[in-house]
Amino acid sequence: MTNKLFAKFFEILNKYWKTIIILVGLILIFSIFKLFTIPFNNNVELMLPQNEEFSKSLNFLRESNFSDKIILSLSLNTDDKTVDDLLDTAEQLKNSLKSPLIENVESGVEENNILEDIKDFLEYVPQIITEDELLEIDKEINVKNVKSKLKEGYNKMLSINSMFVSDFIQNDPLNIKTQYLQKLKALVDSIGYRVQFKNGHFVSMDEKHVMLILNTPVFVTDSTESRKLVTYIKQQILLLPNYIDVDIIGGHLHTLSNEDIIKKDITKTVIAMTLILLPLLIFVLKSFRAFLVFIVPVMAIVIAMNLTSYMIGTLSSFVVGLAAVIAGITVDYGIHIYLAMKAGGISKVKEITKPILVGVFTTMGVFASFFFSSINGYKQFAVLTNLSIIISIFLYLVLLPKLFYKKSEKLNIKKLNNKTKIRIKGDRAIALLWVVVIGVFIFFSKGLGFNNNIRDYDGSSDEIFSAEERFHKTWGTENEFAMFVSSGNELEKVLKINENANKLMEESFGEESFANIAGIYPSIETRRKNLFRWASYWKNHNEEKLKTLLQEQGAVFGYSKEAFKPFFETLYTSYVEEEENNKDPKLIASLKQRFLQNTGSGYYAITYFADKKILVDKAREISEKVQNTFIISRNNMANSISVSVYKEVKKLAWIAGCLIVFLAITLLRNIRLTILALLPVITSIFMILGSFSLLGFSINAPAIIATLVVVGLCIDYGVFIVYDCMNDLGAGTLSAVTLSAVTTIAGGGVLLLATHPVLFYVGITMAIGIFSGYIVAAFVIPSCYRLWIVQ
Amino acid sequence: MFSFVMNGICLDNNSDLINNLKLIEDKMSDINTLATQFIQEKNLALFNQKIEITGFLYLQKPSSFAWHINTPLEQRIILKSNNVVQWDEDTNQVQKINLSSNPTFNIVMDQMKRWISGAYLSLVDEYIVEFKKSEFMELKFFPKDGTMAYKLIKNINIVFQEDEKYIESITINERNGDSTSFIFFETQINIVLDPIVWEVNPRDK
Repeated sequence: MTNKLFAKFFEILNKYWKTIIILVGLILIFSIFKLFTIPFNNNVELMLPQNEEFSKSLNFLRESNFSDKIILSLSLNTDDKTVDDLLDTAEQLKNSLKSPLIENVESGVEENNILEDIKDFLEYVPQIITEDELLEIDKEINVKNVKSKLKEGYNKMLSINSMFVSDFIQNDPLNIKTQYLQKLKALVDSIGYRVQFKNGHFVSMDEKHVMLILNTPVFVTDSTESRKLVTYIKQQILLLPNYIDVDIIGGHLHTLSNEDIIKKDITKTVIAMTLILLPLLIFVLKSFRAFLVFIVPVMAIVIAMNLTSYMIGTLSSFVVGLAAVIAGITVDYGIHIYLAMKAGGISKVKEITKPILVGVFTTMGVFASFFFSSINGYKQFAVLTNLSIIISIFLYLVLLPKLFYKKSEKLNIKKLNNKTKIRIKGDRAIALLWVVVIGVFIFFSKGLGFNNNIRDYDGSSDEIFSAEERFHKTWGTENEFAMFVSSGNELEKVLKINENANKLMEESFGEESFANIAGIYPSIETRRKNLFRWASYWKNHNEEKLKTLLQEQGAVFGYSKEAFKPFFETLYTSYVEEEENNKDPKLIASLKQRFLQNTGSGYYAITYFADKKILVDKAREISEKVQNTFIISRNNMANSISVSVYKEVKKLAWIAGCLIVFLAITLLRNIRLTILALLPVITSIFMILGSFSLLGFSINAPAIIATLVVVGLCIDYGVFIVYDCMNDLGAGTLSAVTLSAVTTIAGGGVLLLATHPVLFYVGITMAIGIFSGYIVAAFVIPSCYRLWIVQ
Repeated sequence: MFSFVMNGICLDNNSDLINNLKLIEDKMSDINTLATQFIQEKNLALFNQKIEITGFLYLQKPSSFAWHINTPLEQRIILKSNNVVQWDEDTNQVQKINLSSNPTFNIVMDQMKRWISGAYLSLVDEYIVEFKKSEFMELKFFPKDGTMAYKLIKNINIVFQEDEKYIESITINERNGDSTSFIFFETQINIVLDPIVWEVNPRDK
């Protein structure tokens, strides 16, 4: 039945082959031109799992201004220059950074108005004094305390900086309002940088570094725009005097560095592969036309990309890159057809078409498992890879037989087979050896751990990590912060949620500190209540009481009668601004940038705390109680992504495994043959796991994905060899398997030279997996076949 | 043409001023250590009467500075590079302040260091400077609009001793009407300072 179908297929091909080739040619030309119009997406998010927590985190990072910052740390590389030279250069650089890719440059804070800003804040303080705090203030209005405070004020006036304090003593003789500056300072300190201000600039404590913070609309995962941005910044830095060094810090650099390193690694791989394939073409296949065998996967991926883009829309560059590499495995089918053609012409091709199709379907089964993924990029990957395989096999079956049919040169397949197909008499010994080896590797694979730390896949250059280390040392940003985020559409609602969260965190966090703006910027409703309480308190004879006390006790130290007039004049002047007026005291306004984010469509109020598991867990408990809140923790997010990716990949591995077994049984229709065909797959999996354990590596997501590819290839080897044993095809099967294994191992082996950790793991997995799969296919399957099937 | 000529005059005046300030700076740059007594008079709106403070001032270049007040209340303020140690007899507590984390104190100390060490050229960006020489050499500093000092200070007057080796007095007139004057006397230059002047020792009460 199947043979009849193949005969019919080849009959049609034979009849219409010219039309088909012209049609394929036209489609290919059209696809090449269309290739330039395909929209590509360089966003890595497409390759990340889509769970609710992760989506929230990503949305938050996108909408808030946290990830879209690049920090420049300028330093002097000579002792001949001073911090003033450094400040001048920082100012020069700040003024030169004019690009649509940079929204603004923060260089520090304006110090000139600091006293007025503090006075503004003190006038605002009654809005944030709570009921309990007012009770405490009431306790302090007594003879003893008033006397003590006035003495303190007098002493301060003797000090060298009396010029700065006299206003504050007049405005706040009992330190009622001024103590709230400490709350403000605590929030400023929570920013995490060890920084001082000099001439309004961020200057390091050693006065040798100056910091500029660049706000950019470019999101960290957008590699195209990130490249433009970083290139622009580097150009401007080049214009600076040569006594200045600049470290650039930002997520954008990681995106670019990873992309650059992967590109370099791929170039290395392509060159090495070419150097390996050319001698193969010349000395083994002895034909340059065999080049067509290797070009077909390229043609297939071009056409497949167009079709996928038509079906899905925007394509992920990562998916295209990965799929292009994996589509290259279809070259194995080309080698089989080519060698069969050489061995016995079209009749041999017809004979091996069935095992090829079994191999194609099982391999497609592996990649089809990616359809079941929740990661959009993986789904794209499944479409693109399967389309590439289908197109490749179609092109091989159409092109190769016709192009090589008339050629008289014949490859001495028998000779090649004799070289590679070694007849081994000791089948039992081979089977036993396999059992022992696989047993040993199963034993070693037992202790293998799984590394799900996604940060280990960051292959950024050492230069970037060194710059970050210098930055952390200079600016004291070693501690990582997690964030508790309250969100909503209206500011007032968000502030209320934030107040509630602040209260719960005070109860739950105990000694552990956290920074929440609710203490100095509660909701409008709360501020109005506070203000009303404050005014009522003073109007209830307390104003008169304090006036009398100040006059009586002040006289002892020589304070004038009018000394504290400013305090009483500003007792009732504070008023709550409406939300839209946005006339908060400047000191609060500058802090709001960090603690409150207006996204345009809503607001976020952010609480910062140390990114420690115990605190993240406590914060999560609160978040579960308070609606519209969530946690952003870098450690937690990395773990969450890692765990999701691990679960995803594990799920796919199970689906792929089941699909392979199901397809193999269905297509081979024999349990024993299926088991034989699966021997290379089983072997390669345990060899990979055991070798990783012996080498001291942990298994990880890239290795699991590479194992899936290995599985797809090894099942092909198994199927071909089983068919060869069954039918004694004489179509150069072992030669073809050997050749494809050699090319794949070479490809994987080259990746061992890769700098990027992901490519390295892919390389080592491929090399171990394919090598062991091939050895089992070539030597163990024939022995087992003879022992188990023939006997 | 007129503006061109005026620019020339201002430039000349300005360059004269710079030269004079440079001369003062050069003279005062010879001072490596300094010990002087002072009387400080404060006329403050906060108090009915003026406050008189007496004490000693010590300076050791490049960045050490000690302010010892004897009356009406004993106080010590010692500055070494970026750190300030402060003590007073009333609290008998030693307070350590890092200037980096205390911007207002940093500004005060920075300004004081400049006034008493004679680093006047560095003040030209922030102040309009008038130079007068009659019986005594005199410098008047008017803060420029937009500077922090402008919000607080009306002017600062520095009068030099007859031999022009050091400052005779500094008067600071504040915008709110308060004023402070320092009169320095028994000034000793480039003497070996007793290490004890850089120490703060709390007493047993």
